[in-house]
Amino acid sequence: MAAVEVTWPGGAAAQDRNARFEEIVRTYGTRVHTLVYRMVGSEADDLVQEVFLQVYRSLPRFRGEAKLTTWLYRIATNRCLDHLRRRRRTQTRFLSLDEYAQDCVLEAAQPGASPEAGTEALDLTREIRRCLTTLPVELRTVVVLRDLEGLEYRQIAAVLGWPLGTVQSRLHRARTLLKQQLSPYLEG
Amino acid sequence: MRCPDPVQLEALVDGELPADRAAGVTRHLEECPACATQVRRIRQLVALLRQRSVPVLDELEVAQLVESVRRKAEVKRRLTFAAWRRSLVAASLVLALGTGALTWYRLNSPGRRPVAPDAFALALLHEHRRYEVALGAAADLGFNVQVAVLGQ
Ligand SMILES: [Zn+2]
Repeated sequence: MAAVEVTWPGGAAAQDRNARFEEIVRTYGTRVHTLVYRMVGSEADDLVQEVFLQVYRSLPRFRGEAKLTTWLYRIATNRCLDHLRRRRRTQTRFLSLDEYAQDCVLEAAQPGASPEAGTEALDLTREIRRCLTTLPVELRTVVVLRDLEGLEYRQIAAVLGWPLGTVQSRLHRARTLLKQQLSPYLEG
Repeated sequence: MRCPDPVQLEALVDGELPADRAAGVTRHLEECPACATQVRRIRQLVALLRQRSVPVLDELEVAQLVESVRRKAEVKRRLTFAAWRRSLVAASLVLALGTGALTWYRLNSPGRRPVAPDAFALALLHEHRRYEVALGAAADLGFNVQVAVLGQ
């Protein structure tokens, strides 16, 4: 007998969906938030909501053909890429200086660090952020997924829908640019 | 051994080379200072990028996120319904004005005497009876609008 799926608002299917959704946010909320934050900075909060709204809506259609994490990363990176491309195109929503400084303070605040070490870390964090934002969005995405999120090449290819070779060559280009810009912080 | 492609050096740092290939590249690093420096710099860069910390969501923020997304999803559903209803109203307006114009044209075609407003209203009513059967509420709404326009 064919399985018929009935979606009834407020019924068992909706309850199941809500429960699954809550489980996903509980388990992966921080990871998605971190990724989005690393991609777009202080505008992350709004964007994270949009990402999870899309997750909520697409959940009934998710059949597990991809790994759940890959699926989440795909939704999140696509949303971030859209956002960054649009921002670049319209040139209207640049990070204000205050927002920018606030991001840096948040990121540099390491528990137990001395004030001097804090300032140093702040400078470095600010510099890293500045360098990351100067990269073309595709290069930034691949370096965030690999070096900050720790994804394997194969996962990155699945998330972004790029061939493996493209992942490798773009990662190489991104790192080459970052090495040049951050050379004062590298020992040689 | 010739110097490996830079992409291979990165794959080594990322642990993405097959074991035999990794062993070959590692042997090469022992005798090639240029490649060894490249690898060291990649490692340093990766370490530099990794030490950045970011704010973490706590229990409360997770709960707020779940709630807010659910609310937004609900609002969106209602908006979709409202948009659908708006387009139905728009369609019935177009229909009503169309049938009105048609009636007007039929009664005032060349060679006929101009019709008094009350005769026109009657004709319109008659016309709409016919549409009403097929179109129900939409035609009804359209008729009300026409009466309101005529009444002015
Ligand atoms: Zn070499």
